[in-house]
Amino acid sequence: MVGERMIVGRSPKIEVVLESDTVSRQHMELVKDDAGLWWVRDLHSRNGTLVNGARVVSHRLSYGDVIQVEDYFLTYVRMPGEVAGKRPIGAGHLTMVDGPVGQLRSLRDLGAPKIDASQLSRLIALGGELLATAEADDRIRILCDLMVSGDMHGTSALAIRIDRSGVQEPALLRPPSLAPGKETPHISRTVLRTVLASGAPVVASTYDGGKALLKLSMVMEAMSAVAVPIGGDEGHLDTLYVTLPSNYGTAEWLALVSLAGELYRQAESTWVARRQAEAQAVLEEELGRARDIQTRLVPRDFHTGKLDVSFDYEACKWVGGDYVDALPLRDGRLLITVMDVCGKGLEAALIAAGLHTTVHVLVHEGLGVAALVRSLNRYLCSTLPAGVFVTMCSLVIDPETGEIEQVNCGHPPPMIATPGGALREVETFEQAPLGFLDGDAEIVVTRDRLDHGQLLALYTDGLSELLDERDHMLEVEGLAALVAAVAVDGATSSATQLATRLRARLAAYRGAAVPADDASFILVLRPSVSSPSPTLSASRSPS
Amino acid sequence: MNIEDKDYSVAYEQAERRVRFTGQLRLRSPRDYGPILELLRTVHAEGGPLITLDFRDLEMLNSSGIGTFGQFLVEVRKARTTQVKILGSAAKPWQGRTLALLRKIWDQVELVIG
Repeated sequence: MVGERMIVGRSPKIEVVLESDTVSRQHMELVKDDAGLWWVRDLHSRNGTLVNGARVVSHRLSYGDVIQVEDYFLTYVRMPGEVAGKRPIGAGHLTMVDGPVGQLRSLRDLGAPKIDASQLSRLIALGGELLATAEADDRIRILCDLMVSGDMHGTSALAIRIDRSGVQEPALLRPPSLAPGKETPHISRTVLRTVLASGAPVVASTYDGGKALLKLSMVMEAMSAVAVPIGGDEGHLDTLYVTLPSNYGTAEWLALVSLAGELYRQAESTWVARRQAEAQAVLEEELGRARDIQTRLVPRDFHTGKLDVSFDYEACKWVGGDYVDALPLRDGRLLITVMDVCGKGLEAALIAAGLHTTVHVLVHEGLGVAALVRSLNRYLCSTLPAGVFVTMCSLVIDPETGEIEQVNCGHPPPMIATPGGALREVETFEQAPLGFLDGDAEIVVTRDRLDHGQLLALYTDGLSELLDERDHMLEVEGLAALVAAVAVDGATSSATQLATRLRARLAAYRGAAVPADDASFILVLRPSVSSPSPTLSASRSPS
Repeated sequence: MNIEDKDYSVAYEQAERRVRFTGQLRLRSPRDYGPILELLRTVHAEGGPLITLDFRDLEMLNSSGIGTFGQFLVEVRKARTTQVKILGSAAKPWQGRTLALLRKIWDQVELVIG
């Protein structure tokens, strides 16, 4: 706006002429006050003057205000040069305008675009460039720069983030890309609202079939604008906003910008997938190391001459919540423990690792089996999340006599198999699992005996609940049959050999079914008195 | 109050104060059992002398599920206002062992395997 005062109305003798019978001859005036601020004043017009939809007599103008005089809408905006000189626009700041933008059209509204082969070729090259560019900022710069290149004729290209709730003002994602000599444009709220509502590319033009819309020095220069969604989520929509010369608001240019936007979206999806794959690879590498550490916590098979012990541990995921262990006590007896942490995976594995350390410390302090279980229960009650528990079978066996003392907390009772094929459960008093066991409860110890030639089997329910390919469960009875079958060879085989055979039978039962639970067992063979006495040795469990 | 999933369903029969479980309960962690625990807590909060947990049509219950029911039993035990009856099926051998485990957590639970 120029001068100090501009009268707007129907009269041909005033500064701004609005040709309409419903507009008064001198309808309203725009006046600059002593402070340099502009005001709108209604000049007692017949049909009134509205600002932002409300009728006014006098109103000080703010940027973005829309003055309505009958069918005419005048938007009070900062001129681009003024903006550039006073406050450079950086990423995050935009000058928004309301008001007429011409007809808004989507690809559906327009005829089939006639796209030049060279432009398609340029877009194909864009796809390759985006896929080869690792930095997200660089990719969006490449997209915007292409829009203002000689190939695409854009005067400006902006990546704008629109808040879907409307609470936040639209913001630039990066500084605008501008054609030489061009200024950052004003952004039409109407265009952004339309692309947000439709989620589809739109084009608007202030040039319509050769008849320019009302073009006032205080409104904006005629131009076309294309807005294309290029990303976002539930909270926001990222949009490519390209301004073009006014006669470029056609199907061809809408299609070209839309294709560029789509290529950008596809490239972004590819980069997201690539980043996820890289993160997954790192995670799997870490889980692989965790699995290695957990496997190292499983004792090696060993033979003492009096007892022959073998271990099997199989996590159904990378790591698991089963725990198998054997520790010599000060009195020469052997503490054998199998535990099953409720749940699977990393959470269960962390608890199992904590149990390993705790058991070893308590045994080192000389605790007996009952005191050990009581201490473990207290530790778990104070550390486990609600609803998480641990089943446990802990027994002490005397290698000289075969005498067994057992404490069982909700765990499947161990089995004893004879070389003749008979099988029975170890005498068991089943208490509540650790974590649910009352802290003051008496820890009941039961006694039994492993005779020469007999095989003792401790296991987790991943074995008894093993599913075959038809989803049939092995059950305790099925497992007992498998243990009894391998125990027949107890007189001539080591515990390691028997464990290998049991493992093979379990694998045969499972077939191609995917394991649903961690599965572990311990076999303790008390050799027959007639068997050759093996020397003390140890070997790593094959699993 | 019902919970429906592709693998299981939980139905509350208010007249009998019975919660019936059907299908396979193999949820990943105790957290995933949260909605079921909340349903049980709501039933408990309604008051009444007895709640029946009917597992007879349940084909599978994993350890996280056992933990969830164990947690519920501990809460009911502490409140001392309600008894719990558990129904299981002898045709499903796993139920005999697993449901007996729940009784270990609270020995006042009435366990009926029929």
